Amino acid sequence: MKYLLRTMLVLAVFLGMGFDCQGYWDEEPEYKSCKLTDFQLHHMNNEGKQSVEATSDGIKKEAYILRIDLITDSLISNYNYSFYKLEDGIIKLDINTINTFNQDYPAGADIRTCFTNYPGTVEQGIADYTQKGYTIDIMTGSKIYLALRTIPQVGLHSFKVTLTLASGKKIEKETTPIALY
Amino acid sequence: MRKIIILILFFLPAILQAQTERSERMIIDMTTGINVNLFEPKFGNASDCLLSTKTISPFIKGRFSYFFSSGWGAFVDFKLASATYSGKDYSNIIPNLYYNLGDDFNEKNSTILHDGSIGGTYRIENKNWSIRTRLGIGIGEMLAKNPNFTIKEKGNNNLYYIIYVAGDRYMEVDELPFLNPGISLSYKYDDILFNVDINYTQFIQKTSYTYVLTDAYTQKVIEKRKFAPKNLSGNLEIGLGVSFSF
Repeated sequence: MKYLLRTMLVLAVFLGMGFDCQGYWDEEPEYKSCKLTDFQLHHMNNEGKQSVEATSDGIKKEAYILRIDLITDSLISNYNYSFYKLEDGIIKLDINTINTFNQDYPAGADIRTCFTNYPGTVEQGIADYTQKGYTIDIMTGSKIYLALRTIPQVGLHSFKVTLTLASGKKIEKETTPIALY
Repeated sequence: MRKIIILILFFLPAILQAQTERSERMIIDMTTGINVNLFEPKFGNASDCLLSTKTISPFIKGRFSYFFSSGWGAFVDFKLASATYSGKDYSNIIPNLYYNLGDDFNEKNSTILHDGSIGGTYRIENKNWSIRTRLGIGIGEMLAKNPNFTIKEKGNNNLYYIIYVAGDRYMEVDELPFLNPGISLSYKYDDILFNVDINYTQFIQKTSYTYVLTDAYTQKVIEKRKFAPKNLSGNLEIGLGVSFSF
């Protein structure tokens, strides 16, 4: 009995060491199909901790973010974007300046390279992968935040955004003028 | 204070001058109790915020001792201690010019730390009572933290990642050498010893950290440097256990 007790105690201690059961369940989600019907453009002021809609006072030119809101035919709630997939994905996103941007970019110039996907965490954010040759189709978010990384000249600015879909269809929009100081 | 504890633990049997009657050659100890992390962070160095602060957690320990004579012997032991990451405000690491947009300390709620040591032991017995002192050297695990922050410069779009990496690469626990003096007070009933066990673990090496500042847009490393905390870590274990002698 004594030996049995000893053996059980020793086993209980040493068998209890380092059990680490790990398991995960990974299943490919079933995507629901949706169509891009429109988009909206917003000037965002990123001077503070989080970007906010610009006021009529304008935005400090180092803190400008262009927000592109994608609008689809499906009512997508905040937490299920990744289960929606665009039937006709976005393959190209172009930005052209309406006014002279700075010395290097005259009016009409392609200034897409002056913007970079904003790497901060933003609500419903989705990155523009098209510059890397990918298509935006799985709706992990609906708002593309593009931070201006090339400093423009001081003054009024407006931009033309063109989304090219996989089918060849293009949707264009122009921003309202915004003062960058 | 620590030196006093070490001295008391090691020389107590000699002070007691007890008599030895009958000795067993082998003893297996099973101990459980509390592990007190005595690391006292010194503020002013970011690394202080990254290491474990004073915490109390449970442990279990197994030890095998072999006695060459009635007094002297050698031991090997193995310990498992539960450790909980202490919640801490790390915002003092971030300069005032920046906003902390988010942080991730890669922390699990708790983890199990292992350590093992070998060393010499000296035993004094008096009827049913015995005292065993030990001095060992071993390798033990210490919690390492690898927090990262996304920070934004106030007034513009500049965004950076700050990453603190334990050692040269990411690790959740660091393995460090230590010295551990200890003492067991035992009462023998039949073949079973009932013990009060006290151990002190003094780590003799520090966990170094690497600080990396990266531009969030370009992923370009702007600054990289290494640093280490000012003081060494230590643990005090107090436990109760049973031993089987052969």
